[in-house]
Amino acid sequence: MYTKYEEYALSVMSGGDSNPPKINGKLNFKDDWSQTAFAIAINLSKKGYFEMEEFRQLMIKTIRDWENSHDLNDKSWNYYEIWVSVLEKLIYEKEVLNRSEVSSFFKKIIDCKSSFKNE
Amino acid sequence: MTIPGDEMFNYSANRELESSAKVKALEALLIEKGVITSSSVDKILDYFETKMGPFNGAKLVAKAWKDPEFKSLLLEDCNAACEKLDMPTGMSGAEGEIMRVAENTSSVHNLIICTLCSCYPWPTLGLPPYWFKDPTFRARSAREPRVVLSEFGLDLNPEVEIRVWDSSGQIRWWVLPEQPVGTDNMSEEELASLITPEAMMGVSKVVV
Repeated sequence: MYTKYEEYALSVMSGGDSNPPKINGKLNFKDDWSQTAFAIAINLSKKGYFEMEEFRQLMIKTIRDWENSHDLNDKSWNYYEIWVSVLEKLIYEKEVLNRSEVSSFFKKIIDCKSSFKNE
Repeated sequence: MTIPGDEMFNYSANRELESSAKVKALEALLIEKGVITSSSVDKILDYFETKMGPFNGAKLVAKAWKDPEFKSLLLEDCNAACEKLDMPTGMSGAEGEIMRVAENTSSVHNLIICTLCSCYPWPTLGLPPYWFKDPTFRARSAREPRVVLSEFGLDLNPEVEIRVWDSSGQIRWWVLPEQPVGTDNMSEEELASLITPEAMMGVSKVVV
């Protein structure tokens, strides 16, 4: 049995293809956004917006799609990019947020960052 | 590259920037709508980063090596030993769920296995490695532990007895490894830095 939802959620994810990258008994995050995306997904499932198993099944399917459309040695593979796309898909499907509001917020951030970069 | 399901955004030039912006947008809107709070996000990360992990097990082992009284407590009542080191709440386990420690010696080597991921002693060992859940690993470890250990690079003398501990929902086993020779003068912190999750699972020894 699990005493923490966090443990349960991660153990669901740890089966087979959906297994998150780990190093020495810890999750292996390369950057802040993957950490945040990870925590948002656990948080939303903890609150009942979707089941962790649902998230896992979609991860497996999306990873399979990626593998079918890429060379397996393709170095551009990024587990948490897939994670974000799955998270986004479920957020729209479950109507937690709508696509257009995320899209416009996203564009605002990108534009702001690009203009900042060009200065 | 186009991320599956993400065709609507055509910003392929900088994926890192895109991913970071996407996550920021999702996080900000979810917080704005009161679906999540920034502290609940931090709390989840904090749990995996600082509360639960092999550093807890390493601390317990290092202290047991230095302090015979603590070692007896750890072997007798692992949960009480965790509490004594003031490890975060939840370390002592819920009702009916305890952690037990098997001690490696020069004549006995212990190996832990479990059928379900939920039986892994997460609070002290962190996240289970992918092969731990593999039914083949479990089955072969029960049947031919010496061969499995040698495949992990651990060749034990034939005289050393191997004991295999199968964790259950009630008891989560882990291993107190042998202290390496020549480390008596090391501090607890130095010793802790040598201890790996693998050594506490019994698939390797602690080496200097």
